Amino acid sequence: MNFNKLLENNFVFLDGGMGTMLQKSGLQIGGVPELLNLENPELLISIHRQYIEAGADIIYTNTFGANSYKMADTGHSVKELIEAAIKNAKKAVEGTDTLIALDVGPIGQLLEPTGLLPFEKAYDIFKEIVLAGSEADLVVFETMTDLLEIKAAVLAAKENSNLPIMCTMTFEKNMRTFTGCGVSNMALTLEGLGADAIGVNCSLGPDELMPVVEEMLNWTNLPVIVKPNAGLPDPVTNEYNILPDEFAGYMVQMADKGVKIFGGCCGTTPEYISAVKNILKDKKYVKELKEILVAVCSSSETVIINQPRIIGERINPTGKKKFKEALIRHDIDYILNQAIEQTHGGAEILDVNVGLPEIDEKAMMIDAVKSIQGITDAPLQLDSTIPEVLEAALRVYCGKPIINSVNGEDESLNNILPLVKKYGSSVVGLTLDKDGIPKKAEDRFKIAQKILNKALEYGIKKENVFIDCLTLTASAEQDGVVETLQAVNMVKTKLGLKTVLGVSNISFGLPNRERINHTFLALALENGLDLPIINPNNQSMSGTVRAFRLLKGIDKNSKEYIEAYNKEQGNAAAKSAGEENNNITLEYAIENGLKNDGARITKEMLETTDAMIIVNEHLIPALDKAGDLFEKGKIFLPQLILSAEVAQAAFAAIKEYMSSKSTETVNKGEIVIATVKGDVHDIGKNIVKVLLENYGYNVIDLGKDVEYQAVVDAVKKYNAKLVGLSALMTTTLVSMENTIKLLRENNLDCQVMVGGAVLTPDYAKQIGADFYSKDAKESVDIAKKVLG
Amino acid sequence: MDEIIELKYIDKCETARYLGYKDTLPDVEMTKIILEQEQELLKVIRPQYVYKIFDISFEEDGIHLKGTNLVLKGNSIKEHLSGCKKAALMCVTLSSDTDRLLRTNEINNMVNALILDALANAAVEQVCDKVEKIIESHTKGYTHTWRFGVGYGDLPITTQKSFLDTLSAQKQIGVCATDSCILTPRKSVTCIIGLSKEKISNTSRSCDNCNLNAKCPYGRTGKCGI
Repeated sequence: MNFNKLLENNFVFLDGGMGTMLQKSGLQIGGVPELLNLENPELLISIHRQYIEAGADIIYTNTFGANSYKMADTGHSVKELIEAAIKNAKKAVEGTDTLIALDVGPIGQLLEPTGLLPFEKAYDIFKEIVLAGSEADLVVFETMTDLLEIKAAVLAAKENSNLPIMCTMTFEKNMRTFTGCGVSNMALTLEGLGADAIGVNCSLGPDELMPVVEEMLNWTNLPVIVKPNAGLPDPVTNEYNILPDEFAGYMVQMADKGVKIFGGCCGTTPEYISAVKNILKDKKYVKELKEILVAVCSSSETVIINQPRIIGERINPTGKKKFKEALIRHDIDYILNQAIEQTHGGAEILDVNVGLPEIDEKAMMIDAVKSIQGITDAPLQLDSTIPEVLEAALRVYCGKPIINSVNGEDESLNNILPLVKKYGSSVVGLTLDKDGIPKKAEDRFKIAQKILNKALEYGIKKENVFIDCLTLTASAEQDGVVETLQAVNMVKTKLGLKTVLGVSNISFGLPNRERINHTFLALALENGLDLPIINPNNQSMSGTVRAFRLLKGIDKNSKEYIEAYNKEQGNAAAKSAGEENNNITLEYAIENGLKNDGARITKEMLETTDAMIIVNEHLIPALDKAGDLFEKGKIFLPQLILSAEVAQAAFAAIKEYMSSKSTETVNKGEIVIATVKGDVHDIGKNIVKVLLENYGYNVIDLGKDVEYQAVVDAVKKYNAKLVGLSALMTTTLVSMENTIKLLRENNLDCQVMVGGAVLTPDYAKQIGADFYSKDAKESVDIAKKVLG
Repeated sequence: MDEIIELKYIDKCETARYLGYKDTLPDVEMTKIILEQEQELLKVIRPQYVYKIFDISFEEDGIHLKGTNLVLKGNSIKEHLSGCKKAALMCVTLSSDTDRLLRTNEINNMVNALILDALANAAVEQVCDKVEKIIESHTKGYTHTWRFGVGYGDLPITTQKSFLDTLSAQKQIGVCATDSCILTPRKSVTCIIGLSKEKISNTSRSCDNCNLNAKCPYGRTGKCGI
């Protein structure tokens, strides 16, 4: 017997709760169940046998927490514990057809960005488990709540074994996991990665899981698994409230809806499994193939491509001086700001291209994908010409992305399509090949056809192929405009594929580009464009898409349109003094938190005043004044930061002006700042950063949980004379001390200031810091002292 | 757990205090931002909690919780639970979406981030208050001590991991600890409440029994919740 053969059966039955049985046998709360694999094999064998006798076709090994993190203090290796578990299971299944599933639960630490565990480390942890469990018949990842964690697990299993894979995640009543992962997101992602069966386990009883299961069945044609709890536990007695017969009754409803694989989780015992098996014995599993909606997703957002969806084009250095500089500086915040701005502008998917010859594109892409996913729900379109960069991005991406792009050349197809298949993404196919972009629509259509056929050969589903018929510049190739539109139309209607188009190129070299762009966009939409790649911050572009949706009756009752344009513009933080108050000063704007005015006044001043005079005689004195008021307790931290943000806007205007005049930019010296290793409390350090930047310092922000060596490297690289370290926990003060020690060992000519709630001036001195900074304001005073 | 906790508002006085306002109130403009951000935060928080009640015994190496491997060490917790026969362990979180909202604002609007951070601190305490009420309703006839946080006094912060395991906190509400014992998601709290049939003195927290007394950043109002 093997798993695929078993799936040919009618229904498939799993076992019930393991923890429940172990606790009945006297396992202490908080005890380590996996130790029993070695200490009490008979108990495990007997529990497995009870489930086999109850009718389980598959039993789970007692290895839910058998990972290197959770087992660290047990004195036993993961390999030892897993091998013992499998040995026990093998003994139990002797003489039966029952299969053994290597059971794998969550690691027990949250992955980045909520926790500190990097994806790559999670992968290694799962890899060790999978290798140790190679003797099992299949592997099951269960009770998962983080889509990225289960992705790491599935990749580890796929790349280190040939075992079939079952995946179940744990959903709450709101149809989401604790980390916010939705049902469609799970199904789209895990089916793409090649799981053999997916479903739900734990958290709720079968009745409450019903809507989750219904949703899951809508999003996959894989066999669906349910392994619910025996209802909900009583808070005082801890007893579960659904008995075996009632439990089985709900399972009949699940079977009617299309569930294939049944088991039980917390609170269930062999009686539950035999009740389910018994009640389903005369029922027939009917497989009904459903049409799954075309969609891409992040962990928490699914974008269904059943109407035009906006792809934001701004995360791309092509032709953007500031973006290029940001990439060279490794300024992730700059990219994140672009992401936030575009989603506010109406982007539903974000294209991410960080290609620049001067940088390590692969490393930058990984950082960019991880960071962007940490702050926005929008699915991403991963954009690079280098297959290794794309694969690196595909690995760490959480959800189902789009790959941009492949073209009609064989080399491109053979390099990229295997990645699309392996990681289950969608892909954009450009209708060009070695001879360039064909002039005629028919010829572009032919390339589209070739791309599609090749994708199908690789086992990629048709709906995951999107075609870009390519926009040519109207000023240079006027006749080409109609050909592009016609090609879009043909691909859409004759091939039935979704279409993508970068729009802005159309107007290159013409005056009033915006008018051309949105007119072309409207024409393309009418010809069947699904995914316009545009600048969503440009209101006439996103507005055209919104208006199109309204006019085509997609936006029912004009709801979204009205919502988008009836919104109150701006909030109090970005308020402006208004037109009647046009003669306010920069100082006034800073003091009163008038962000828009701050930038406007600075721009006006730059016409007549030297930039450095604005900085030294207006900006900094105004900030100093705010700092003084803060120190005296006349204003409070939020007001100080509000002033700082106005100054930031003013600074941005100055920097932009200087960079346009190619004069030297404002820089009073480099400061490296970091929240030390092990610590995640970032806000204090970020406040310090805002203030320091406003005084003209170039702040190199290394983020949180920073390795000691990374601080040393940055100080060397930027020749920084001042380092700021932050720690908020007594447990991470030691990291602060170690960082300082390493800086000293490297004989670096830099001073160190430290801050954080648990620090005292004495302690700061004790660990070798040069300065203790009690708040953000004081860090500026220190910087002035050190750097001037 | 038995009852869903929802917050309809967040305590603005507490929020202002976390922001450093001691005896002054935020001005009109700042209040407006606070009210706006309160709404943003209320949209994303999803309060989750788990608690369990155990019989306790005072042993040589610390306080033992019956049926578990957990031992609570140190003098502070011993003193805190003196006279108690039972203890409730609880963990609450505002969930990981809160972290994301904070992260996003730290990138593009520091003022909002700062205010959201303070609001979240106030919110998590409100959730704790509500859980405490639920525990009270299940333990009629018992007097409660104030909530003693894990890591407070000389109760080692390294207790965090086994404390969470005892509550199955990851499975129940998605809370874990990092290697440095920081709770994730960030806006989460673990604490211990002593339950006694007798009358006990430490039913509410005061600045006198706080070891941060001298350098309290929150104006020593006696209700800081850290």
